[in-house]
Amino acid sequence: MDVKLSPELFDNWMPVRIFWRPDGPYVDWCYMQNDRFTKPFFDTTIQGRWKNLFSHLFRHETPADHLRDLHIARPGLPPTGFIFHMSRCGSTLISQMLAALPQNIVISEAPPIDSILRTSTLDPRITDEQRIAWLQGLASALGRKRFPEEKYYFIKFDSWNTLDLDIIRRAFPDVPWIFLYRDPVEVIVSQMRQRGAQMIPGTLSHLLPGLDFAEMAEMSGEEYCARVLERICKSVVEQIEKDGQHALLVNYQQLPAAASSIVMDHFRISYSADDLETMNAAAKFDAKTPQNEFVPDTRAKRAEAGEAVIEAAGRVNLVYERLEKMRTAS
Amino acid sequence: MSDETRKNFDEFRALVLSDLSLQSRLSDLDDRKEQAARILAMGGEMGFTFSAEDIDAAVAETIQVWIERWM
Repeated sequence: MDVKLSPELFDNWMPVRIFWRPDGPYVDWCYMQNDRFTKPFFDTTIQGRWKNLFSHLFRHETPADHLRDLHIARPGLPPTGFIFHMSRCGSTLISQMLAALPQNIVISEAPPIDSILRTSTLDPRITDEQRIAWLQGLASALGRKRFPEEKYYFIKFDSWNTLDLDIIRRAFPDVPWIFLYRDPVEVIVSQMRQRGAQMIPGTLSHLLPGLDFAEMAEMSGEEYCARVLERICKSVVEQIEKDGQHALLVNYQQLPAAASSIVMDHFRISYSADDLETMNAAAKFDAKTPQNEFVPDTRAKRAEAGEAVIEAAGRVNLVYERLEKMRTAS
Repeated sequence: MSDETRKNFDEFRALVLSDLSLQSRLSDLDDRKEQAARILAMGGEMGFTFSAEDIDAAVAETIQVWIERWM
């Protein structure tokens, strides 16, 4: 339902999903009460909101262009840093360490951000300028201060959003960003245990243009996964070759120490000793299941890798080595 | 939910969404049963006719719409 769009009506509401009507993309909003985004993923926090009948039944729906108006009337904090990653490589660990501090707003893999970035694949008439304006508006809406202690604002993107780095950089040219990556064998082993959406053939087919569904379906899971990882990483290499300013490459092997040292330096922030202790305490737990303690699994993953994984990882090794060279040279 | 009831409920919902004071009377309860009772009472006060079953039906519709929009 459409309501008059007074900015104050949206003060404790968050854009949670993009949906389509004949005249273009719309935003679905959720009332947040006092919930912060502390869960490993944006959607986990939102699903928790559905327990509240008001949040469930009463939802604003606005055209995407409303985001721009809201940005002018009620701007959010400017983003402090962006986190990109190849998946299964420690990005959730960093976002959970950041979310442990009340001064940080951490938006982790928010579906509306991915949807806005992909609007042009659904409607080719949508221009880069429109996507940039919507992305700026959406990031601003998600970064509005709801608690007085909030000072910093981080966005962790979906892994495949590196394909849109160019648009994201044009929307936020001054925001420092990091890319986390890991030995491809270990990532493929993890994906074969439980695949992310991007690793299911046909789900995000724009990741592998030039292949039809039959070709994707015939491929082994390991090969499909390797091709997607290669594309994600290549997009980062291409972006850094074009414009490496504000970029920092971080290998999984540098974690968790790098999270509270070089990453924070790169984001131009410093935390107190107490805050660092809080962040490091969060790092002791498994990021995706915080009720469990974190156990390093590099050795286990390498031992689990069969021939198919090692052969598929060969496809990604070239770009992985390129990332390593870039990281160690900087 | 009949078409007439849905229209009633949608109008009530639009009014609540456009009025912060109405929202504050509904939004800060945590118990779903209490929230449902208050939604019913407020709807009645404002002249909108719907039942507890209609609220349940609206919840189910909202879930359905959410799923469909995701596909």
